Amino acid sequence: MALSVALEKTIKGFHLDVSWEIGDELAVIFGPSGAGKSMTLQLIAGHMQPDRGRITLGDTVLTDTGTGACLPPQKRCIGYVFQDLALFPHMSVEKNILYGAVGVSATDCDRRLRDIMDLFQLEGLQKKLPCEISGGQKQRVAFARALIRQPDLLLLDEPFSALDSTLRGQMRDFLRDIRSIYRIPVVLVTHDIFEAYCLADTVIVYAGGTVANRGTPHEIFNEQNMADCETPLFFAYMMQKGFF
Amino acid sequence: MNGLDGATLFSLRLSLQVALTATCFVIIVGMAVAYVLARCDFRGRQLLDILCTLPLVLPPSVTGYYLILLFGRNGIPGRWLYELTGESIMFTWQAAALASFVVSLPLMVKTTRAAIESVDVNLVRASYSLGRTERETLFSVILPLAKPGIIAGALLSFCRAMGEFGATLMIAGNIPGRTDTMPLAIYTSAASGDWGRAHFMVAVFTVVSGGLLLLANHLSSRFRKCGRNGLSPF
Repeated sequence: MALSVALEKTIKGFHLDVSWEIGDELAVIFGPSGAGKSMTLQLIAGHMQPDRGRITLGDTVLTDTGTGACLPPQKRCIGYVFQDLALFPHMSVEKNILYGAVGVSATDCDRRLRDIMDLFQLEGLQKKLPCEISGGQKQRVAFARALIRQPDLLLLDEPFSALDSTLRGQMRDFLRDIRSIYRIPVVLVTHDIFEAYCLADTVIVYAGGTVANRGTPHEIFNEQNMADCETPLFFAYMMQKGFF
Repeated sequence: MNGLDGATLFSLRLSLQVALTATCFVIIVGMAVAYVLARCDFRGRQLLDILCTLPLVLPPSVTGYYLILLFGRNGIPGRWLYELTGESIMFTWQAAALASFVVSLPLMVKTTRAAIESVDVNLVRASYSLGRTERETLFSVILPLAKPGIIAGALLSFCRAMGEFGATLMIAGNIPGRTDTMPLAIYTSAASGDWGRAHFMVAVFTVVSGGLLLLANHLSSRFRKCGRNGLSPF
């Protein structure tokens, strides 16, 4: 399923003007804070409307300012994992996950819950509140909740930013496992160069509200492209991680 | 000290009846208005906000005056009520409840609005992205998380409704055995030198209102603490 995005939006003096398309792959939107990465996700999810633009997911038109078409967020069938995870603090782990099972029959719901609890290693945590589980478990609950309705697209807004480096590594492995099961387009927003390099099939580099570059991680992070900006940082990081 | 006589009991019972009736309506109307003010953007939003806040800053006599204009037989709602029921609401316990409703509504609206606005916008967005309608989001996410604030608002409104004096005097009068709520009975007792009765009612009033405020404060602090730590308040 292809996701096609062409957007223009001006808000509080910031102008976003981006256009890109991805298939069933993991696209990383990479760039500094304030480049418009999270705003793009909000526009795709329907939490914000563009001034001009068109977003399509497969054959479904999510937004088209030309025709006035605009699907509400509820009808977009998009899994969204927020930076702060946005787990409902008053609901147990089980209720948080089941809250996402809209339009699923009761028997199917039970089966899906069992499968997803097993897949995301959440057995035994059903009745716990989000404040009673660890950071990594919260991450997995947020992913399980986003995926239980089997969305057509998964949006990840810096979901690992609050984790320590060990846990981040585990979650990156976890995300690769998920990718092998759910063959849907995934858009991951990050300003972590290592995360972008390790996870992406495609890297879309944002700068000042526009797409500055696009390509595979190798194309984007090769010596030539990085020469004038972040090469020292990148190589230092990679060396620290034992890649060289 | 002849504190707990029949007249005092009547005033106490009437005050509770008036305050409970007013608070029931305040909770329903206040929650609806607070939700609209907190989450909807429309023309006239500021006007609605001001109208709901005015009774908080206007002298009670002015609020009472407006109520006479509106609910007297020449006012549109007053005439409509008279045609519907054959009776005027003026100088009845219902008028006292109406006055209490109007003056305590701002407390409910302000407190509930703050509680609704403090619910993390990402939780609401998450709910929408998970396919839940606005109504489902309201009842499953917003109201449960705003519950301590809503309860605190209801308690404050109840205290204010119990203590209403000026507007009640204007629209319901101070008719012994009919519309003399506790604040009015205290005024009458003090004015006529019946200090024993006044002392008793003042003491009852202070204990009840103080206890309710303590509860409201406890809920508010619990609400703030839970909000900071991302915990469920209940």
